[in-house]
Amino acid sequence: MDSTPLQRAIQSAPDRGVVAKTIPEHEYFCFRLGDLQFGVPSEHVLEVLRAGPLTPLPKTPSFILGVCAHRGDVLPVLDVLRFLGKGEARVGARTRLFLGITGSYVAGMVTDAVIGLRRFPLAQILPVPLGGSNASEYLSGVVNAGTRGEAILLLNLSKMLHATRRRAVNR
Amino acid sequence: MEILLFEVGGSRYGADAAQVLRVDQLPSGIRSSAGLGPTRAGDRALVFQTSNGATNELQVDLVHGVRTIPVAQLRQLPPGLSPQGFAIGVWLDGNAPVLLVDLPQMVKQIGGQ
Repeated sequence: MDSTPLQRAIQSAPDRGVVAKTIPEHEYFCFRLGDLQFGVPSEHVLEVLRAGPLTPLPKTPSFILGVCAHRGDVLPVLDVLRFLGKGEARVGARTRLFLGITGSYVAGMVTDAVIGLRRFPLAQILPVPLGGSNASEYLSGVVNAGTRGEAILLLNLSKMLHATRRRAVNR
Repeated sequence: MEILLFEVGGSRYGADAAQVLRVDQLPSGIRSSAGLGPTRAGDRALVFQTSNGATNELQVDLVHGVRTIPVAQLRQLPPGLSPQGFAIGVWLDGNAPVLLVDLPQMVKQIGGQ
C-alpha cells in the first residue's frame, strides 16, 4: 500500500528534537532623560507613573529632587543626570517616574520619556570605556541600539541606589 | 495632631502648632532664608521658643493656619533623608506630601534669622 503524505513526513522526521541554540540576553527598561538614553535591568523596576507633586527636602544632595507620595508611601525622587554629573533633569508635565527597587529600598527616578522594555543579547553589550568619568562606576555597559542607533547607557541601578542612600546620610 | 501650615519659596511646610508662640508681621524689604530656602514675599514670621528658652523666628511667605491632622496621615521620611535632623516627617495631604519640620531643631542645626 502506498504510504500517505503524513506517513512519509513522519518517516523523514529526525529521531530527536534539535534544541534551538538560545542566545543569552538580558531585558532592560529603557528611558530617555535629557539627551541621553538609559537602561536598567527590568527586574529592578516596579512601575511607571506620572510625576505628582514633589516636595523638596532642604539640605539634601542636589540629585534628590524631593519626595513624592505614592499609594500611601513617601518615596525619594532622584535625578540620574545630577547623580552622574551629566546635567540636570527638568521636571514638567510630561515627566514620568519609574520606581526602582533594590532589596527593600524603593526610589522614584525621573524620566523625560519611557522607551520601554528591550532585550539585548549579552554579546551586544559593550564594556564601559576605561578612564571615563566617575559616573562610569555606576554603568554596567553600553549598547548601541537606541532609536537612531544611539548609545544606551546601562545603569547598575542597585549600586546607584545604595550610593544615593549613602550620600544622603553622610551629608 | 495640630499642625501649623506655612509656605516658604512656593513650598508648603508644617510645624507642631504647640511650638509656635505667635505669628508676627515683618517690615517689608527684609529678606532672608533659614534652611528652608529663600522667601518670596516673606512678610510673616513664626515666633517660637528654642530649647534654651530663647525666642527665635522663622521668616515665611504665607501662613495657612492650623489644621488638625489624623495620625494615620503622617509618615516618616524615607531613611537617610533628614541628615540635619529637623525634617521630622511628612503629612500626606492627598497626593501632595507636606514636609514637617521641628523649628527649634532647625535653628539649632542651621541657624535662624
